[in-house]
Amino acid sequence: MVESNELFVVTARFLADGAPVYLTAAGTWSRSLQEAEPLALERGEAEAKQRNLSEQRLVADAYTFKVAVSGGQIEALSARERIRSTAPTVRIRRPD
Amino acid sequence: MYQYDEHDRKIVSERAEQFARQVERRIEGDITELHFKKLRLQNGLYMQLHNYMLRVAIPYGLLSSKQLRKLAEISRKYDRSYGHFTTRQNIQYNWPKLEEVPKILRELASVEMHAIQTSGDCIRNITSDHLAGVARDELEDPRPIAEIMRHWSTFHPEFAYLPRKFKIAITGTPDHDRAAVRLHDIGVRLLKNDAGEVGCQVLVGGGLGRTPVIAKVIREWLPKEDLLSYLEAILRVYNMYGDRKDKFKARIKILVNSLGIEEFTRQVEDEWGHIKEGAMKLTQAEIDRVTKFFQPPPYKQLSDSDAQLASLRMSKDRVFGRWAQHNVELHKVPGYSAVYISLKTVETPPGDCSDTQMDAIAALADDYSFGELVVTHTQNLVLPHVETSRLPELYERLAKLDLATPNINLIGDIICCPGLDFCDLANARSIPQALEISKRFEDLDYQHDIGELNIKMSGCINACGHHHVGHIGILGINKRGEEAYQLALGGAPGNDMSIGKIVGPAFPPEKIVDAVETIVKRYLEVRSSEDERFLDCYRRVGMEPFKEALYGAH
Repeated sequence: MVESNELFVVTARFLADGAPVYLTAAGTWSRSLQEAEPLALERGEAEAKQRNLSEQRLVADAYTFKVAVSGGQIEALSARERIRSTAPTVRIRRPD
Repeated sequence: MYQYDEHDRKIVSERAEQFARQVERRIEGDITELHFKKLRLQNGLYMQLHNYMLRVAIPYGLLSSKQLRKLAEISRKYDRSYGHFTTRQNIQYNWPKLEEVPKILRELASVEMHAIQTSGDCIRNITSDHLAGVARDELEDPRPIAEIMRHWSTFHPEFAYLPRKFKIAITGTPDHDRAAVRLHDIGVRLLKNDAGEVGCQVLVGGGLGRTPVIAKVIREWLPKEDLLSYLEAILRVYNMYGDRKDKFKARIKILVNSLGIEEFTRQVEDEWGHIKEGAMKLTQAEIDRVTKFFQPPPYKQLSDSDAQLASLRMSKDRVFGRWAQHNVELHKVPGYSAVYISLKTVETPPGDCSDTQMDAIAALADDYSFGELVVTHTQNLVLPHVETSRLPELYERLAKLDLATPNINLIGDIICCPGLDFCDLANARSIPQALEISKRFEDLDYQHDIGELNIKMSGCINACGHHHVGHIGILGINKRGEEAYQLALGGAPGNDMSIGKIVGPAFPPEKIVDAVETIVKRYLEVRSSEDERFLDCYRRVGMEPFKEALYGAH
């Protein structure tokens, strides 16, 4: 059950390269989780749904996931979203 | 190896152009992601955790040096200078950009390669024995039949949208299955009948994943001319009755289990009766035509080299001696050996190969192996035609490339899926744990003392790392949003196939490597002799000693 004070972030993937991106307060997409706008679930889900319809040329597969905010830092609350928001935890031959 | 004809080149090229237009339309917004997803999957393009991933088909793992150079070049131009060889003998690129994928497909087409049917609900890459054509214990080279099945399954109009993905494997060595055919939706074993004729035993309904199942024999023996029509009949029954509502129950193994093998066989035989004498009947002329592509290379007339290889294995250079022992296989042609190139080190994700390594391996294939190499389903490579007398110089060149680790079939030779570092489906990371295990057991003397021990690791229940059939299997799970790892023991992929049994409660990431070490130490304590393999020891003593070592007496 979702608690009323739980926070969520809207994420999607850039169409161009499939990279994870996060919805900011300005309504733009950022590659940095720290620039995301934490939202209540209902608003987050509405945003994700609307972006999936209207921003097909920019992003794909928008959805929400739970976060915690502490000291101005946003923390993903699952291992999956933590790793997704940073980079693979193994060495990449050419990081680019 | 098979060479494209004009028709093959045309359809692969046209497919690349078709996808190029589909990508353009997606970028322009003419196709939604919902509709584009099926199209991109038909062309091997996934959306993964951090990026797109392109899976390129390598039919039964066989590559030419020219193709490997192109794969290296693609990795440099369009990716991050490496590729990942998979447990289905394919290669994956983890970092392509969408608009560049059509360019990649065009470049692949220029060397007779593609990414068609490497994902989606269709018949996937046909896999086979990585020692096909050279193994001393081989009954018959399975590659001609593998190629015929590839022809049949590519763009098959009736099976373009199956209930779920479909995997076929074939072995030509019935007594030593290196292709793990019993783990596939359809497995084919070349076998002799009572009259001494080589034909096909057909198995059906194998698979890993959520519900690991060992395939069952549906036809004890078929003449080769009837193979395609029989496969067609199996696929028709599956296509008709496979579950399309629940994707977790949609594989053929579920249908075979629910109907029972007798009823499933009855339905297939009934369907087959209508088509066996039709267009699918293989002629000997067609079999001969395809077989010509797999004629042996121009081997030299050399003396038997078994004694020479035995001598090399006793070399004063112990590392080289161990390499000759573990990474070199006896060959059916006197004077030759098959050489494994281990892609498993303590620093590199299992199966990864850099562009410079790929270029260098292509040169080695040209210098030592008639320009051919093979990808194994254990994520290594094989040079299949090496003169035994040239093994020392080949070893030196491999060692300089960090490709001579003498760990084939030892604990350092870990099969490992990309896991949560890359894969959108994963529950847990697998590569860091595999590397840590490699590091823990880095000492080659220790690996040699432990002996044959296959660790297989999957980041989720989809089991791309084949954890169900690892002597030690490790499965990454999601425990309340965090990673954890389940251990299983006693799995085996070959003729004596068995599904591993879970030992007990899962371990957190910081404890799983210790757990593996505990298992190994207990094995060393209870084995009957230095020669008793881990798997044999486990089968003799059972789970209890290992469970007690991990969790204490209970």
